[in-house]
Amino acid sequence: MIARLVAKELLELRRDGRIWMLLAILGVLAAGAALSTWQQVRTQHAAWHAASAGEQERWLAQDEKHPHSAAHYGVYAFRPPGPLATFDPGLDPYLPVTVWMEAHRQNEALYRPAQDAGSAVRFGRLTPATIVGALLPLLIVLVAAPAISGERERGTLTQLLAQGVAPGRWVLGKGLALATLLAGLLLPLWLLVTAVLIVASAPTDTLARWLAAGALVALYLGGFLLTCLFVSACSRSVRTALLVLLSVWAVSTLIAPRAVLEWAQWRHPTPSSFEFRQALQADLRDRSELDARLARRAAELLEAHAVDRVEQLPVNFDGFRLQAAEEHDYAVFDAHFGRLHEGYLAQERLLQWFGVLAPYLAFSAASSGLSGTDLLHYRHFADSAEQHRRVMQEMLNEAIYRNPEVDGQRYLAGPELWATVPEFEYSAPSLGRIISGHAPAFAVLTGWLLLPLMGLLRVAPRLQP
Amino acid sequence: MAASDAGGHWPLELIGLRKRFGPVQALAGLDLRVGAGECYALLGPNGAGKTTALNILLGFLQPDAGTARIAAVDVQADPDRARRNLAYIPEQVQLYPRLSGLENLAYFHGLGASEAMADASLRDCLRQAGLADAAYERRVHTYSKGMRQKVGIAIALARRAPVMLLDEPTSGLDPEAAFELNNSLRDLAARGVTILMATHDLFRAREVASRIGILVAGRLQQEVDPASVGGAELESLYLAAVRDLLGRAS
Repeated sequence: MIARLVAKELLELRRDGRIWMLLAILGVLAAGAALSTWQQVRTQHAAWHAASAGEQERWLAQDEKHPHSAAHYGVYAFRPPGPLATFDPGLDPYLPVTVWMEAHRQNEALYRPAQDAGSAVRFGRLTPATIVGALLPLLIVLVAAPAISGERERGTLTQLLAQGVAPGRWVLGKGLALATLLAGLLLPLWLLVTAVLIVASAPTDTLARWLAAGALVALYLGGFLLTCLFVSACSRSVRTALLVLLSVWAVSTLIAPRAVLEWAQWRHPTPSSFEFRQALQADLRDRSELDARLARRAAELLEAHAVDRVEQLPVNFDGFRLQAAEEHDYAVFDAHFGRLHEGYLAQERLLQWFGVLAPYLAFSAASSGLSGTDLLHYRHFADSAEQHRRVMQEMLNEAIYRNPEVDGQRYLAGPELWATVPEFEYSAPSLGRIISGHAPAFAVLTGWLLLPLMGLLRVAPRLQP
Repeated sequence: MAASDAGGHWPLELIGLRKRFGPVQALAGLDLRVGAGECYALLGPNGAGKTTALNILLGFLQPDAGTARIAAVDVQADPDRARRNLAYIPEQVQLYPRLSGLENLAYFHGLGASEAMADASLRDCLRQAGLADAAYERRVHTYSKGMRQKVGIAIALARRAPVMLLDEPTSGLDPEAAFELNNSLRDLAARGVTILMATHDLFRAREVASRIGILVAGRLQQEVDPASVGGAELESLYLAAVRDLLGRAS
């Protein structure tokens, strides 16, 4: 029976010119979005590749100089595009791609665009993820809203039930037919991309993310489909079902993302770029503790080496002073940037939980997470760059410390020291960490799947004409 | 002619059926038994309770009181099992416009039956229902109301159920198709099928029914043996029953 029902539904859909028109529009939009994001990511990737390689060469090609001059000469860390940025560019295009790693500073310019725009930029562009997250649900609404309510309104449901058709199995067949339609649209594309990733020897992490993205899309669209069927089963007319479902769609994809973002920013405010810089500089200026520490250490060294002045020490006290100053600043940077990031992450968590009302919020968060284009990835990159900067500064300060001035001549380091400083290599966080970081979004989407399913299991067997 | 089985059960039974919709008493204790091979025509004005009675038999409505049984199965207790024993032709047969008549028949029959019917048998049902061969493969959105009605009749014929319910079955049919339908109903009755037909059409009712019941205000006012009355006499009886009750009510 179910096979017959699925076959008939698909035959009817195949003969419905409106479906073909919708699919054609969707296909053109999807192709355009995929091509545009692919081109963008390819350009970004090429630039990242060229810049990263050139940067290491630039560092290694330095002349002889004092290590602290090299520390100010600095290196740039380049952020690679997210592993699935072509699918969901997320915040990628709106966040800086470079961090200048130099002495004394965790460069705040790194954070400026996110401070100005927050997560709102995620909802502004047409990408494969927005096609899947926003437009495909609209197609599902248009196709699934009349699935049961239309049969009730036309009177065919009366005849079917009078034929002794088990309503529960009939609804199951309806659901399977629509799921088959969706799978027929998406599965070949997904398999094609999977094959391309395998053939192109993509990293295991990228492949795992792509598999997880497939599961995410199935979870999200499955939930939307079940919601549509549930509303359709409860509606006396197609008009009612369409009205309810279009409202759900509009709230989820158009209204809630902006409204909730505004609320999230109000609930967890973050400082403006100017305020942030002012507060940071104020704390960095307070060096009383640092001065005391330096004085103590200098006294210890002078006593240990039985000399009167630091210039007489067998080590270069400047190296210690510079490193102590760095360490003093680390705590200030950690506190300020930590608070800033916590604010953004609190906003992000709120957006994910509001997926309870608007599943697109949860989908969007999880999708950009899996694609490596969200704030969590950005923070991971920024933290990695900062850790690298600290290692680099420690190595250079250590070289200064071990090489005191000889006859009034400053120590000059050469390529052998530059070569000891490791190249900055960034790898994105693991899939497990991404999933746990987006647990609210996955939980909400699972709820969106299970609730209408439970509703349908209750309503379908008692279906009335 | 009317008969129950050995256990005293009738293929179609309505016992003390009552149903109220707000202030309107749609059924006020309807008692009706139709035997195997009998064709019962339920006549009555609009709002008499005919469709309510059919909807209760189909399991779509719960009565306030009373019992409805199809082939000894209590409809309210087990509507799915009861429906397996009946075929139904509504007043307005609704079909899937993007499917052909044959595809509609195959679909409706396929969902309700345990086994699919061969293509030749399906075509035979359409032929019995009076649909022209040339229309079988045409999509239903090109059909007239009468043609759709004939597909509905074919769906009911294909069920081969022991009980058949018809709601204004000749509505929208041309005289020739209505004549063919009557012949089909007579054939079915001759094969032992129990038929309950709600209709306004006194002429067709007299022609095909073995018993006629006049339902007014949810109660069976009178039963008539069509063989013993002429067309004009049936009309007089019907109008008298309706006017009498409506007169008393006013």
